Amino acid sequence: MVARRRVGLAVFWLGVFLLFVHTTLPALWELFGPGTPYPLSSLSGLGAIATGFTPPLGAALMVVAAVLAGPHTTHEGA
Amino acid sequence: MNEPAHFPTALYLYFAAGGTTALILFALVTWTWLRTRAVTSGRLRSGLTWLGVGFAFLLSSQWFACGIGAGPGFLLGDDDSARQPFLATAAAVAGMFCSVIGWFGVLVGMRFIHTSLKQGVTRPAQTPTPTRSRRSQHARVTRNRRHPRQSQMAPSGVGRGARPHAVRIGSLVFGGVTRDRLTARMDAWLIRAPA
Repeated sequence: MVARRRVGLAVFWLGVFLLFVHTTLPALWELFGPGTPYPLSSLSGLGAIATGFTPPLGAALMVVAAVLAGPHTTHEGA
Repeated sequence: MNEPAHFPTALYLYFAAGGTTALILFALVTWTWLRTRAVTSGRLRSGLTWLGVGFAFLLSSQWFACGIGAGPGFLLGDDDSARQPFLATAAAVAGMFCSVIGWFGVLVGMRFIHTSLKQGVTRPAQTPTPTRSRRSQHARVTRNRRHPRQSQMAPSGVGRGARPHAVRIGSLVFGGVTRDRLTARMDAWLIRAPA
C-alpha cells in the first residue's frame, strides 16, 4: 500500500512538472533567464507538437495519480 | 511551425502571470482533491473521480483556448505573417470539445456526490461516532464543565462561551463545520457506508 502511494505521488509530481515545463518555465526563462533560447522549446518535429499537449497530459497524469495512490485509512493526509 | 510572434509587453506579462497563477491553483486544487478522494469510498469517491476528470478537461480546454491568441494560432501577436487562422480554429475546436467533456464530468460528479450525501444524511446512524482518546475526552469534559449556577441558568448546549476563539471564527466562516466536526462526520459516514 505504501509503495502504491509512493508511485501515485511520483506520477502526481511528474504531472505537475509537465504542467509547468512548457508554460511557466519558458516565461520565467524569458523574463529572468540568460539570453539563450529556452532549452526545451522546439519549433519543428515531434517536440513542437508535444509542446502543445504537455499541460493536458500533466493534468491527466495528476488524475491518474489519485487512482494509483488509492485509499488510505488514516485522516492525516496523503 | 513559424517563429513565435512578438507580443505587446503588457499583454505578455498579463497572460504569463495569469496563466502561472491558474496553473499553481490547479495543482493545489488537484492535490487537495487527491487527499480528499483518498479518505472517501463508494459513491462519494466515484463522484470525486468524475469531478477530477472534469477539472482536468476544463484545464485542457483553457490551455487549447490559449492556442488561439498565442501559439500555434498567434492571433494576438504583432507579426501578421506569423498568424495561423487554421491552427487557431483547430485550437478553438479542441478547446470547446474539452470544455463540454469537462463540464459533463463535473455534472456527473456532482450528481454522484449529491446522491451519496443524501443517502448519508437520510440513513439513520447505526454506530456511534468514533471514540476519542482518553486525554482528548478529558479535555472535552473539562472544557464543557460549567459552573453549577450557569448550568441552572442555561439549558444544555446553549451558551458555550468557553470555546476557543479560533473555533468560533471557524464556525462562523464555515457554517459550523470546523475541522474536528468535518473529520467526525467523515468518520461516521465511512463507518456507515456499505463496503
